[in-house]
Amino acid sequence: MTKKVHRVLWLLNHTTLRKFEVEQFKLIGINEFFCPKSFPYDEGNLSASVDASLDSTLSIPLDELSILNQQNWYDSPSDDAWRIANQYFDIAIIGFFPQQIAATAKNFDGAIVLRVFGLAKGFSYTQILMDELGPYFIEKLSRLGERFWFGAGYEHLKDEEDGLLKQRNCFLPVGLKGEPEPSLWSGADKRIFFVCPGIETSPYSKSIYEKFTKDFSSFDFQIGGVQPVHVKAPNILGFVDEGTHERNMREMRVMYYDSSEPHYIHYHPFEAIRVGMPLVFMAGGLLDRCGGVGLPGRCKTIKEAQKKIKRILNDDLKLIEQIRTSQMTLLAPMDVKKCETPWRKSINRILGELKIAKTTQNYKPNKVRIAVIVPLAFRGGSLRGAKLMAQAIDAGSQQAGEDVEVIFAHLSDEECYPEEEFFDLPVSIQRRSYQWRTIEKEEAIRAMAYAGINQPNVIEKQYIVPDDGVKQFMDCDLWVIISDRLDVPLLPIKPYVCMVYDYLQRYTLALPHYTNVQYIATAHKAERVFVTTQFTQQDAIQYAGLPSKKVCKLPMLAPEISNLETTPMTSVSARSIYFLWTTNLALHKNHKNAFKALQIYYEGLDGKIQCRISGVGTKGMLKSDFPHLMPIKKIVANSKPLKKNMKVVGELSNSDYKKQLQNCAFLWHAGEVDNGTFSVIEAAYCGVPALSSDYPAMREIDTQFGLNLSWMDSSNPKLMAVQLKMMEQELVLVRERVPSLKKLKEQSIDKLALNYWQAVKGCL
Amino acid sequence: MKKYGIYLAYPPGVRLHSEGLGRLLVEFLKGAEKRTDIRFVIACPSWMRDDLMSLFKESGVNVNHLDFLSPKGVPVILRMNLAFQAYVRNKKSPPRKYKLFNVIHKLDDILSNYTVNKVVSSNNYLMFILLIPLLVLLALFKGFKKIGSKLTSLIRGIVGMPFRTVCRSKIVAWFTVLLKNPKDESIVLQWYKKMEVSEVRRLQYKINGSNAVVAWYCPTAFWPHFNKITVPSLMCVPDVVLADFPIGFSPVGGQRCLDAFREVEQGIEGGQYFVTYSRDVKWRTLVDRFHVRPGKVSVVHHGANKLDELIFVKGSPDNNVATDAICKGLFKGALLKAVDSPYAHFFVGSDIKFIFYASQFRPNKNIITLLKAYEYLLRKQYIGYKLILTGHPSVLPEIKCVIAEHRLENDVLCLHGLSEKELAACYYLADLAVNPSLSEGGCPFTFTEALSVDTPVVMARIPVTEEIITDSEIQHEMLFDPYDWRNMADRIEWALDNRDALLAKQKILYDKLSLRTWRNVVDEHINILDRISRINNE
Repeated sequence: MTKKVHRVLWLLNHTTLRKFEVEQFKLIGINEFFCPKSFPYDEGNLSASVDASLDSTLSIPLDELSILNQQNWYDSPSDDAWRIANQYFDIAIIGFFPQQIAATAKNFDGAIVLRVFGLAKGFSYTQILMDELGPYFIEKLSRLGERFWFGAGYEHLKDEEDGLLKQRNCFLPVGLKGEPEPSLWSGADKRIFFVCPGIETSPYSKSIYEKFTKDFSSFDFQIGGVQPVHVKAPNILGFVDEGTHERNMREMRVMYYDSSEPHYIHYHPFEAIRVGMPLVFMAGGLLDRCGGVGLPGRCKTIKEAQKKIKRILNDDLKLIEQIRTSQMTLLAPMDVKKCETPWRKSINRILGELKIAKTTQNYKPNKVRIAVIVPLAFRGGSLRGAKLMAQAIDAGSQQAGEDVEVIFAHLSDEECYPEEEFFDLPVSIQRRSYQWRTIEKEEAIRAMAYAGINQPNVIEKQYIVPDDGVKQFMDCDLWVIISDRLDVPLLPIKPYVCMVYDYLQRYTLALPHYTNVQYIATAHKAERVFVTTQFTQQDAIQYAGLPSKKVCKLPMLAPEISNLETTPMTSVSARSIYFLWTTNLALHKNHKNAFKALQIYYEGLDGKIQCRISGVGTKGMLKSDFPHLMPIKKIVANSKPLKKNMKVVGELSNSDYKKQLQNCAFLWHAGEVDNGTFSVIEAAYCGVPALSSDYPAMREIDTQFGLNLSWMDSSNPKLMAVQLKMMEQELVLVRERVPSLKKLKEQSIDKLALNYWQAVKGCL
Repeated sequence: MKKYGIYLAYPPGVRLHSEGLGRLLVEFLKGAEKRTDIRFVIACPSWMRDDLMSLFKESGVNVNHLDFLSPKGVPVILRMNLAFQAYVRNKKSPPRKYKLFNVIHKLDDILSNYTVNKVVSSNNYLMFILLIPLLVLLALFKGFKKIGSKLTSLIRGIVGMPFRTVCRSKIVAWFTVLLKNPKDESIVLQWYKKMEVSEVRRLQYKINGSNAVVAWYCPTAFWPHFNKITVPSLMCVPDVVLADFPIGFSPVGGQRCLDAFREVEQGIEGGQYFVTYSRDVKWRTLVDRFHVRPGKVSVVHHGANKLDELIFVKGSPDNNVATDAICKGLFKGALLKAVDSPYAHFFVGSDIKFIFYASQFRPNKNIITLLKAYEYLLRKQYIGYKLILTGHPSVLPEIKCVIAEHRLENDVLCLHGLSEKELAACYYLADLAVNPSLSEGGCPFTFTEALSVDTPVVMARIPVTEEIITDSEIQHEMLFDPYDWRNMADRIEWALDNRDALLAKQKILYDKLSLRTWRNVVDEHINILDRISRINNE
């Protein structure tokens, strides 16, 4: 029986580390490695390089290897690449690059070893992962079970962690390939060699450099290390080739190592020791753990370091020899042979548990449950949009053959949400009412702890949770919140997605800063933000500052008016009695300009078509105290033709609205910038043309649905009136441009649903 | 070898690292380094010496090519004040009494934990009885700690009250201002002024006593005492912007600003020879406004101010990607310096696109017009970009008002106090740089700064700009009427829509302009100094 060939995806590019770790794997009997052929610029990659020679170790088809070589393994490789990785590789060694960790955890089916080498004091990998990838990421890692490992380079690193990373600790000691050759050193160059890469690219490095130059200003020195941005100072070596680097190591008199970080150490002090260069180092750092305590090169203060270095530069041969001889003990833990035993033990453990993980029957998970939550008392178009979202997720999951349950959640307000409001919701979608429950900070901390979210970021005084009186939607895997308009932070106890329709506050709507900051924060804390127009997508990135990867643009959904008989077009004259203006009382609906336009249309342009006004709250429009509606009362009062020709029909039931729509000459959308209205789509379904304000979101709707809308400049009442007259005079022509039902149905929910499901699935 | 002098007389506390003049001086001196036929002598007050040396060292200026002339010994009262300020700054460790409290608390924790563990784990009466003394000890310790705490509060209350009363008194308040920021106290301000005068006298004594320097150069018009130098002197007059915007500047800076203006007037009136950065300042300001004879005024245009070396990466597998990454990191730091913005932290880590104007807020900078144009572009033309400025809104309250009244706090960010690298990163990441300024001493640095990092620019059509940007086609594409916000908005919108084409054209012009280095600037200054020294000899 042939022994299984184990292959390793070594997804790092550190030159020295690669040499050592490949050697370790070979000692254990693993001989096939894949390494990335590109790496991003990062402070952690200053010592990185590409080594294509390891491709020759792989016994996988060349065309598939080629696919692997094309990927950016630090970001999101293609599905095909992951398929190949899963087919041929057992172990993935990854670095602490958040995107790489997220992609590998999501896509790789083998053992994942997160290779870590220590952080500055006071930081933990757990906290950084949560900060970078969200508070739920640790839970995602825990679901990997025995496949995930915290591959610590130093034994004590686990002590800085809590929970999962500590539990999954697996010690893989850092080592250095190559035999010590202290006889190579000559020390002819009487200067200090201080390695400090990235002086002008890393504030941390800059501060180290400034401290060194201050402490050793009276000494001669050379600064080694890559400098991506030119440093305007003398004695900076910058990048040097390997030959020059080795010469520097042989000839420089002494290396000074300043770091007293207890959890992190660089390679270069060991490289210096290996070639016999005396190393003077500060106490308190990781070198103490390697056996540095008591060594003559160790210094407790800068003054002590200055004295010793001065002696070394002044040819104190006795001290030099003492240091050179004694410091060899520091190399012992890094020895390839010495590291072999813990490496063998850990890799065997990794492979053993991987085998168990692959052969164990998993407990069948519950059906995936998604809650689509309407957070406010939305009515009209907003409610229709929410229901469409739920339908799309439901239909899309069914099309994908996934076992998913969609819950539609709304506020328990019978007046706002009578039963008949939901007759159009498919039976496969469960409906649940809820109330918002406010919880104080201490209660929130307990709830998070009970939910198993470690180290919760509970910092607000109050939070809200949707309370359905049962389990507060904790039975759901994901919450889809329709809108970001939450005045109080949502308890971060479940991952959630936000559907953001617009950022009107950027243009017309004035919001108090505290409220606006809260809305934007809600979107930031979401796993993803869904939008339906490029206009809102741009605002989400530009205005809310959301990373572009977080914002997912989905095609706009529109209700299909399918239960109406497609009655033949009646004569134009019969349908010319009125046009329908659908609106509500919101500020951005542009009432003042619209009424002025109507006045001009009827008074100045002899407008012949009546205007019927429908929508939520429109019955009280002329009596409203809203400041932005006050001017319209005067306009109406002063214009008899306008009064005569307008009729407010108010908020209509769906069926009544559809009747009004079907019989009107055209639909008028006069609002200012927003996320668009699908009233124009509904009109198209009835064969009714629309005259719309010209702004980006409406242009997008026009393009997506092929509506051939007529346009007007909503900031200019005169031009608006002219366009109304145009519609009246060219009604027949305009009607002919309305798209067919067949064309409209290309944008039906069924056709678009899969997009929605895939977007939601990506958040699970 | 000829020696020329550079005269500097900043008051104490001014750090040249953060002054534009400091950067100019560095470029000037680096430009002069290769000239082997001349040597510069820097004359400065005693308090400037260390700061200058530090600036030169950090910037890579070779001080071996310079001589220094400054009075010995910093005035004693200034030394005392600086020492006190250093002491206050460096005081880090908590007072001893807090260390003692910490020790007591720690001891309490250890004793409590030990005792409680022992008590709850004892499983026979004998052991429990033996633990009673420990319990008593713990109770006593806690009792003493409580009493001690109450006593401390009582003593603080009794002794502290008169102390607090004293602290709140005007005398103590006066002392605090005196020690922390002496120039804010009017009597002390007078003493400071007298100290400066005395120091300048000492400096000029040294200058006039030295025959080595054949001509002196002063890079600013703020120091009329420069005219007391008996050797030929050349004064640089960048601009006198208060004269151009009298009403705009009248609420700014109070009496100190008026006093500074008077000194500039005196400086110009008593000056021998002058140099300006533009023909416009020569004719309109010095000749027309201050009646200086045209023959006394030379014009030396700026060299190119480049920022690429601060951020461009070389030697990486993909330099563009690496530069992007570095600049994004710097931009994160810059965003944290946003003033009065509850939103800036949201943009750390995001991919925002923005228009950039790097300048302090001054009445001549035309910020309000820019804000009008920007609001129109944002809310009517839906360009979506943010506008990033670098001034502090509190300097000109009307700017703060406009931003608030028009609800632009999210989209207009004021990032103040940026380092040079952060500034370079902002220029690099911006889609467009804009300069709406109505008045400058020379062609604004915006042009070369932006183009050195491949960002196109649109600027106000003002004479100093037209002196340098002479091609009418490029002028038409990149210059706007600074008095017309609509024209400004049109130009910005056009530039955003045609960014690549504009950049390509401007890069050709930039490549020509960047041939003019600071070496050229230095050479021209030296030619003038040489000429005036020979006129004097004749």
